[in-house]
Amino acid sequence: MKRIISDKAKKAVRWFLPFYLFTFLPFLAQAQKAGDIISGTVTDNMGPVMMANVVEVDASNRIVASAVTDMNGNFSFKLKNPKDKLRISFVGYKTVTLPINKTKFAVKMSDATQIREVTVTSKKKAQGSGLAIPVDEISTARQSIDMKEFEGLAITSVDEALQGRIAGLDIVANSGNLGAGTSMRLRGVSSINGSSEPLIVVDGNVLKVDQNFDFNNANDEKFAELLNVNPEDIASIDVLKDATATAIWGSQGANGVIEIKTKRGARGKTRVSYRYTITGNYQPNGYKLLNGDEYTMLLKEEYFNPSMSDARSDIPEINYDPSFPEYEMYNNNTDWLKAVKKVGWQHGHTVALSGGGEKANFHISAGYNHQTNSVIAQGFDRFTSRVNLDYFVSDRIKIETNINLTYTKNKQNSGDLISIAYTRMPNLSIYEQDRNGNDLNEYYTMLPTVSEQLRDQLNSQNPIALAYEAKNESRSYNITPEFKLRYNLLGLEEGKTRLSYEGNVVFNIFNQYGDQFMPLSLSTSGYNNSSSNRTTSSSSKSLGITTTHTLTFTPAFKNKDHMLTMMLRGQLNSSQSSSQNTSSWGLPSGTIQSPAAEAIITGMSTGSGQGRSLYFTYSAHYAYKGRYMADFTVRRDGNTKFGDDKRWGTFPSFSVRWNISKEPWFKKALPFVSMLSIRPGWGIVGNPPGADYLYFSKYSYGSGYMGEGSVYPANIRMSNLKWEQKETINLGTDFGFFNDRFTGNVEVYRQYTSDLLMGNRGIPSSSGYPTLAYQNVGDMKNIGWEFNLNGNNIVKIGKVAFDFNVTFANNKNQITKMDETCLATLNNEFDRNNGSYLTRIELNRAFGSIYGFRYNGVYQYSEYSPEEVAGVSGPNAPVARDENGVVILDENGQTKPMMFCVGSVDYEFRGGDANYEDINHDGQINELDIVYLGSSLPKITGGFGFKLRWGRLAWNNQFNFRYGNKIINGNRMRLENMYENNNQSRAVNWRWRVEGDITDIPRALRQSGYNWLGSDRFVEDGSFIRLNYSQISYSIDPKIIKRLGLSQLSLYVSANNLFCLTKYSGADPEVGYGGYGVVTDNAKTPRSKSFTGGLSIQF
Amino acid sequence: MITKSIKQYILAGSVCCCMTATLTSCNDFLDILPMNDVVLENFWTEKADVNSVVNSCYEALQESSVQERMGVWGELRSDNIVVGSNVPNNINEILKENILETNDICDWSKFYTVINRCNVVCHYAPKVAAIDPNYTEDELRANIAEVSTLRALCYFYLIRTFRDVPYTTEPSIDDSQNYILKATPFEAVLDSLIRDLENVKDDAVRRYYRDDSPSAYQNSSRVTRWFTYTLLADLYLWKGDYDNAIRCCDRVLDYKREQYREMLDREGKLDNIELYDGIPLIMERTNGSTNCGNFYNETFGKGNSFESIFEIYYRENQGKENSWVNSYYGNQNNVLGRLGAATFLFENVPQGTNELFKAKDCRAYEAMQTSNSSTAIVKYTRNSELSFTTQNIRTMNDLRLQAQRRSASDANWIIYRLSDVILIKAEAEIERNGGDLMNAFLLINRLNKRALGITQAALSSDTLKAENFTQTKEKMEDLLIDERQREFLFEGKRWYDLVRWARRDGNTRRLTGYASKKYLEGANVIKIKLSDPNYIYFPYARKELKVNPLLKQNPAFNKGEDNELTK
Repeated sequence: MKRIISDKAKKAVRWFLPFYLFTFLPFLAQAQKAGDIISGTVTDNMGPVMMANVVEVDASNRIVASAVTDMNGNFSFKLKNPKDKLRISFVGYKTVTLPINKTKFAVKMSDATQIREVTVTSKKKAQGSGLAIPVDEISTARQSIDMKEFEGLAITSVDEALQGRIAGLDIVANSGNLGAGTSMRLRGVSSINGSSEPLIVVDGNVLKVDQNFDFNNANDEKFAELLNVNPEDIASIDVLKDATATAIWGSQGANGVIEIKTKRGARGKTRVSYRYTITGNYQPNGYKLLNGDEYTMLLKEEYFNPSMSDARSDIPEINYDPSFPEYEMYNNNTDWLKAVKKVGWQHGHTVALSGGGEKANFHISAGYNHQTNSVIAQGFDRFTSRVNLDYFVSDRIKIETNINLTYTKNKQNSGDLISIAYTRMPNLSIYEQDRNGNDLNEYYTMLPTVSEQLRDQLNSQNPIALAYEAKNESRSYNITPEFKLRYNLLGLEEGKTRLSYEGNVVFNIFNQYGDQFMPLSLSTSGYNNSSSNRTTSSSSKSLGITTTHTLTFTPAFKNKDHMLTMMLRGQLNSSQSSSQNTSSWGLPSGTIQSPAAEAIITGMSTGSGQGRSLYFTYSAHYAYKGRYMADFTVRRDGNTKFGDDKRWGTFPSFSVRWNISKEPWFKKALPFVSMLSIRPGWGIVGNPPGADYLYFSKYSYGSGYMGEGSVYPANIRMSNLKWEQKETINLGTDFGFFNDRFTGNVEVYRQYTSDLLMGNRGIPSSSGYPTLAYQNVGDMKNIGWEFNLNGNNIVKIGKVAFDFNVTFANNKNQITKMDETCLATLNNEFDRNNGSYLTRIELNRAFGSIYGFRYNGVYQYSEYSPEEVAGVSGPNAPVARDENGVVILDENGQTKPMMFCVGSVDYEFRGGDANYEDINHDGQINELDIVYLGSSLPKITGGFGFKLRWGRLAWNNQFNFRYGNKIINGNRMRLENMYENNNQSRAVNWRWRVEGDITDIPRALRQSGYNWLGSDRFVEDGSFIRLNYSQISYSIDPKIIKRLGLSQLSLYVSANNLFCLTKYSGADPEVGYGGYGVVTDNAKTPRSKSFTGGLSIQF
Repeated sequence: MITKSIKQYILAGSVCCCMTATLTSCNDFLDILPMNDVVLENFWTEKADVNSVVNSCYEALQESSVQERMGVWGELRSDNIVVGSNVPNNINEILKENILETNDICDWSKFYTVINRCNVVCHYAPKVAAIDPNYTEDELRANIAEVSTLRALCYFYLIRTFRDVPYTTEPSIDDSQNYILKATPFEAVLDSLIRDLENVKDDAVRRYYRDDSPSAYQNSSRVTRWFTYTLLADLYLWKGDYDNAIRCCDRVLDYKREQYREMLDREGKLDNIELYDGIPLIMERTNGSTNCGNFYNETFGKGNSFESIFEIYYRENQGKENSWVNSYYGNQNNVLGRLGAATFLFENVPQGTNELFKAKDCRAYEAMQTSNSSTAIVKYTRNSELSFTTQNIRTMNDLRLQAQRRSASDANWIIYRLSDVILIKAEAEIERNGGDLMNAFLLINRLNKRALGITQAALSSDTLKAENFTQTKEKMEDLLIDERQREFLFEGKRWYDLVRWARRDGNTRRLTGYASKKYLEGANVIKIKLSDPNYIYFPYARKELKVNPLLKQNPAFNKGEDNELTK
C-alpha cells in the first residue's frame, strides 16, 4: 500500500523538479557552520521521493539530526556539525552518503536492486557466547545443528529435536505426562550425585530455574526448563562437549553446555510468518490385564494357596454372592486402562514478525500451545512471546533488548492414573450401580467397611473420579528481560585493531503457583481423615540478576598470516527465591476450594534461598595461516558454596588444531578430501557442591520443649571441602569429503574426575550426625568415543536429492579411587525380600551392574521321584542337588528340601514355586547364589536419519537407538507377582495351579513365598531402534502463491514415535537412569505416539 | 586522529580499572549468611543461647525414634510382650528373637544426636559464661550438670543395649575431626559415666519451680539433682557398687520426705499421699474413697506426679507426640496396639490363681485388658479417671472398671519414678555384702501394699509375709524380680533387668528361663540362641559397621554368610 501511494506522489510532483533545482543552485558554494539550515530535494527516476529519511550522522554513524522529505521531496534541518555527513535512505533504494559541503542538496536515488552482485568473502563464524571464530578454526569438541533442518517439523521442545542427533548426548523423556521434561546426559555421568544435566544457555544467558524452587514434591515432574523456549524462535543449537569447549562456562558447564541462539530481525522488508500445527496422540498398548472374572479366580487361589484354607479365601467381594449388598459393584469386568486413556489433541499457533531498517532490527514472536494428553483430564497450555530488538545508535554503539515471557498452565491428575489403572481390581465398577446392574451417575468409591483382606485397595482411588473431581493445577510465569550494550571502542572494520565492550543485564523472574484439591467424595476413610476436602496451595518465586561485562580485543597484524583475538569477561550472578505452602482439610463443602476458608490447617511452610557467584574468564584464539590454531582459556570461579580460602577455583584449558587439508601439499595429494583436521585439547573444570552455607556451623530452630524455644546445632561444618575437578583430554578430528558432501567428526576422550563430591556421605552416627553434607571421596574415570557423519546432497539426480546423518557414541565410567567405607555405603544389602536387586559399585568396574538370582522356571512337583508319576511327583521338584545335578540324599536315603535362607527365613520351596539356580549347591537359596545379570549401561547409543527430496516434496526420517543395555522391568514384576490384591497381567493365566503343571509362571501366593525375588526373570534386554519422526512436507510453488500475496506456503504431515523395534516387553524401553544405580522401569506414563499435520505461511 | 585514539585508550583503560575495582570487593559479595539459621560465629553470646540448646537436648529425646527404641530395647525381648495386631516386620523379627543387623531398630543414631548436643553445650557454655555477665557460675554449673545427666542417660541406654559402644564427650563441629571411634567396653563407659555424674551431682538444681507453683509439673520433666542421683544409683547398681547405690537412693528418699512435709505444712491434710513406713507414696485408694485407680491417674494418666523423678514430656500439638504408646500400646480406636501383653501375665488374675498378680493387685488391671483372644497393653493408654473397686472380685466384671483411652498421643514417658528408687535400694540391700534382707523386704512390701489398695486405715496389715522371703537371698531376689515386673510392667525396663541379672550371674540361665516363658512354639530354638551371653545384646546396625571400620560386630551376630558379603 505504502509503495503505491508514494508512486502516485512521485508522479504528481515530477513537474516541479526543474523549478526547485533552479531556485537553490546559487547557494551551493557557501561555507557551512553549525546552525546552518541544510535543505534539499530527493528524487528518483520518476520524480521527487516522499518520506525519505535524511539524517546527519557523525563519524561513528550516530544520528545527530534528521528530517523526512515532504510530498515534493524537499527536506531541511539545522546542521549540528559541518564535519558530519549527510545520509539519505529510503526503502528499496541504495543509501546515499554525502559530505556536508553545501547547504542545498539535490539527491538522486537509485534502485537498490540495481546493485551488481557482490560476493561476500567473510567466513562463517561460530555464533557462540565466546569468541567469534571461523568455524574451520574451532579447536574444541562441539556439534551444531541449524534449526533450518527442522523447519516444518512438529517438535514441541528443543530436546525432542536434539534426540539422536548429537553424538554422546543421551536424552530420555522423564515420562509421557504433559509438561514433564527430559533428562540429558552428555558423555555419561561424571559425578556420583549432584546434577548431571548439561547447562542450557540461551543467547548467552544461563537458563536456570532456581534450585530451591522444587517446593511440591508430590509433583513427580522436574520442571522442564527447555519448555520455556519456543522451538520456532530458535536459530541454531550448539552442543559443547569437551572441557576446552565449555571452558568459558567454567564450573557451570561441567556437564557440557547446550547453547541456543534465537532468531533476530534482519534488515529488510517486514516478514510475517504464521504456523499452525495439529497433533493427535495416543497411548501405546501396554500389558493386557486380567478381566474381572479371571481376577477373582486368581485372588481365590492366591488366598487359598499359602495356608490351603478355604476360610482365607472367603472374601465377599470376590464371591459373586447376590446377597452381598455391594454385589453389583463387584461383579464387573472393567477395563480401567481403557477408561483412563483417550486420544489427546494439541494445537499450536505461532506468529512471528521480523524485519528491520537502517537503525533497528526486530524479531517478535508469539506462540500459543494447547494440549490435551492421551490420559484423561490432563491439559497443558503454554503461551510464549519473545521480543528481540536491535538498535544501532551508531556504528560504534548498538543496543539490544530481548524480552521473553512464558506462561504455562498445567492441569494434572492428582495421581498417576495409568499406574492406578494397572493395579485396580477389575471386578469393581466405575459407577454406582442399581440392583439390576445399571450405572447410576455417581462414581463408586470403595467403602471403608471393605473386607480386611482388601483394605489396601482403599488407597487407590477410583481413577475416573480422581481425574474429574480432584484438582491439581500449576501455573508458572517466566519473564526474562535482557538489556545489552555493545560499544566498539577501537576499530570498526575488519583488518583494523579492534576493541569492543559489551555489557548486559538479565533478569530472570520466575513465579509458580500450585493448587490442589481432594474432595470428600474421593476419601475412602471417612470425614475425620485429613484427606477429605483437602486443599493445598503453594507458590514460589525467584529472581535472578546476572550482569556481564565483556571486552574483546583483536589486534591487527601487518603480516596477515597471524590472527589473534582475545576476550576478558566478568560476570556477576545473584538470585533469591522464596516459597510457601498452605494446606488444610475438612473444608465445609467441595465447592469451596480455597485454603483461606474455615478448615483444619495441617501444613504451613515457607522457604527461602539465596545464591551469588562471580566469574572471570580470559580466552584467546590464535591462528596462523588458517592452518594452525591454538586456543587458551582460563576461568576463575568464585562461589558462595565454599569458605574464604577455597572460594576461588581456577580452571585452565588449552587446545590446538591443525587443518591438514589446508596444507598446499595436501590439496594436491588428496583433492577429494575437502576438509581434514585434528584437534587435541586438554582442560580442567571444577564442580562445586550442590548446597550453600556448608562451611558454616549452623544452628537451627527446633520445636522446643515444654513450651520453651530451642535451637540446635544442625550440621558438621565443611572446612575441608574442595572443588570436584574434572580433567578432560579430547582428541577430535573433523573431515569432509567430495567438497563437503560428506562431513563429520570423530571424538575420543578421557575424563578424570578427582575429589569426587559425594552428598550425604555416611559417617559413624556416633558423631551425632548420620551423614556429612558433602565430602570429597574419590576419583572417577570416563572413557568414550563419538562418531558423527552427515551426508549432504549425496545423490542429486534431477529433482531428487538425498541427505543423511548418523551418530554413534559410547561412554564407560568407573570409580578408580574411593574410601572403603564410602564405597560400602553406596552398596545396598540383600534384604531377603521379594523384588529387590543388588547393585555393586566396585573400583575399576563400570556402573550400573545388575545382580540377582538366576530363574529356572517353576518346580513342577512338590514331591521328588526319579521318574515322573503324573499328578503326584516327578524329578522337577525342590530338592537339593550337587554340582552334577544329582539329588543329594541324607543317611536315611531321604532327599533334602530346597530352602530359602536357612537360619533366618527358613522357607521351604514346594511345587509351583519359582526355581532359582542354587549356584553353590548348598541346598539353599541365599545371597551366595546371587550372580551378575547384566549392565544397565548401553554399549552404543545414537541415532540416524535421512532426508529425501523431490522438488518441493521432502521426506524426513529420524531414528534413535540404544544397544546392549539391560532394564529391570519393575512393571512386569508387579504385574506377575501374584502377591498383592492388585490386578495382574494376562500372563498369569498360565500360572502353576496343580501338581504336574509345566509352566514358567509360579503359583499365586498372597503375601508369602519367594516367587518374585530379584532374578533374571524380570531383567530384559533394553536395546531398541525408535522411529522418532517421519515427516512429509511440501512447499507450494512461490509463483502460484505470489498471486495470493504470500511468499511461502508449506504443508506437512508427520508421525512421531511411530514404532520402536525392541525385544523389551514393557511399554517403552527408553527408561531414564540416575547416577549409579540400576535402571528400573516403574511404569511411568509412557511417551505417547502421535500424528501431526501443519501448515506454515509467510508473507 | 591521534587524539581520538588516545581518548579511546583512556576509555578502555578506565573500563578495565572499573572491572578490577569490582574484583577487590568480590569476596565480600560472596559472603552470604543462611537465611533461616544462625551461624556459629553469631551464636553462643548470651545465656539464652545456652538455654535454647539445652532445650534442644530434651527435644531430641522426645523424638519418636528415641522413644520407640527406649521401649523396644528395654522391654520387647522380655517375657512381657507379644505380637499385637499389624505388627511391623522389623518389630516382629525381634519378637521372634531373629535380630538382624539390618533391622532398623539397631540404629542408634538419634541417641547420639542427644549426646552430641549435650557435648556441644558442655563445650560452648563456659565460653558464654566468660562473656555474658548475666550468666552466673552457678547457672553454668547447673547447665553442665543437666546435660551431663542427659548424656549419661543416653549412654546408659546404649551400653545396656549394645554393651560396648563408641564413647565420646567431644562435640562434633568440623569435618576435620576424627569420627571413626572404636567401641569402648561396657565397664569403661559405666565408670566414666559414674565419674562424670559424681562430679556434677550437686550442681544440678533441686527444683525449677516451687512445689505450689502452677508450673511445678515441669520439675519432673527436666533434670533435677534427684534425677541425677537416681540415675547414679542405677549406674552403681549395674556396676555392683551397692553401698553407693543405697547412698544415692537415700538422698532422693530424704528429699521426697522433705517435700511431703512441706506439702503437709502447706495444706494441712493430704488425701492422696500417705507415708508408707516413712516413705510418702501416692495411694491407690484415696482417703474416703472405696475405689482404686488414684495412683494410676496421678502417675500415668495426668503425669508429672508427686512420685515422678524424670519423665519425658509430651503434649499433642506442642511439638512432639508420643507415637510409641499410641501405635504400639493402643489408643482410643484400637484396644490392642501393634504389641500385646503375654497371656500368662493377666490370666485368671481376678480368680486369684495368677502366679504373678494377686486378685487385688491394682497394677494388673491398670496395665492390661483382655481384647478378644489377646491381652492388650493399656498402661499409659488410659487417661481418664480410672476407677474400679477391688472388693469381692471373682471375674473382671466385678471390678466395675471405668476407663477411657487416650485420643491424643500425649502420654508422658516415665524414665524414673519413686518406685525405681525404692526397688534399686531394695536390690542393693539384697546384693550387698551383709545386706539387710529385712530392710529390703520392707521396701518391697511398701509398693506391694500400695498396689493392693491398702489405705491409712489398714497400713499395718501386710500383703507379703516376711517369713516367706527373708530367709534366703535367693528368695528375696525372686521376690524382687517379680515385684519389679509387677511395678514396671511395660515401662521399658524388664529386658534390662534380665540383662542386669544375667551379667551378675555370669550366665543367661535365669534370663532364658524368664524370657522364653511367653513363647508357645519354637521356645527351644530361642533358648539355644539366648544361651550365648553375647546374644542378649543387640547387634550394631549394618550401616554403622559400613562407615566405621573400627567397630567390630558382636560375635553372636557375626555369622559367616553375612560376613562374606560385606567383603
